[in-house]
Amino acid sequence: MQEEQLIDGLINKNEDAFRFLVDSFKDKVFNTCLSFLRNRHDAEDLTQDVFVEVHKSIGKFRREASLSTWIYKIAINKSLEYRRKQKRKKRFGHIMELTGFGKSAEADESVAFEHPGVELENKERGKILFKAMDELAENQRAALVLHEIEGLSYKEIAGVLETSLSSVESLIFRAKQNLRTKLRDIYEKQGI
Amino acid sequence: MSEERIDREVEKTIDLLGSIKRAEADPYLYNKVIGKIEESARSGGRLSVAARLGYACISILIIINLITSAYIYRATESAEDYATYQDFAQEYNLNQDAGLYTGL
Repeated sequence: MQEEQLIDGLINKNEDAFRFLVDSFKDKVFNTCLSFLRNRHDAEDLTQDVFVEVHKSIGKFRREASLSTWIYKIAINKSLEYRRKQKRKKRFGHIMELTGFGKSAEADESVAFEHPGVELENKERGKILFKAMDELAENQRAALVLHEIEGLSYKEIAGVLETSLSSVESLIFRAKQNLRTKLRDIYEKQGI
Repeated sequence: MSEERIDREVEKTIDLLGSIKRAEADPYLYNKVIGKIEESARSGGRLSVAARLGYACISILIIINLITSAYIYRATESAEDYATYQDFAQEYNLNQDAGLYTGL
């Protein structure tokens, strides 16, 4: 199905068009969310929310960028929003715990996250990688995930993050530099 | 651990980024998304009732505020008027004259 046809179908609330869109983009959206949330259950839930948003807001889509760019943008924004909400909740829970009004915080599943796309022999390395990535600045992390895991070009990333090509280059360069520093810290602490 | 070995580990871990395979999403995702859309359409009606109630409460609060402001404004104005009359009376010694007329 051509993109123009697909968009027209989506605007007209055509069921086949929407099913085609979900089937074509579900893995891309799910993997993007998973890389940010590091929790399969949350990522599945958020993937559903991304498609609900696409269904609801397709009328506002201004065909200036590709549909793929627009969907990635929604996925990234929702993931970042979710992460911020989680952090706020964690902080609030910690305060409640300190003041004796709350229960002790539940174990954080994302700490020992194993990405299903990492091969078995690299599982431990994968955990360390995602732990270090979690500490990167939001925009650096987004650029890195989109480029390295999703395989998007710099131009496509510039569209998703609404920035220039040179900014994307610089974001990815800094992301890798910071990732090296964080990984070095982790390995030094481990003393392997 | 030697610096060299740490560097090697760091590079190996960074290289892993490019070899991560795509995880498969839930095969029933479409049905779940449709379920969520239908649910949000149903709760949309309930939400509008709640929204209407909210608007009604806000309107009542605004009306109460306007009435209170008008009352305070009037009270201040009449106090100011009274002060002006007092000043005027003092300036022209009307208080003493008033005594003459009343025979005091």
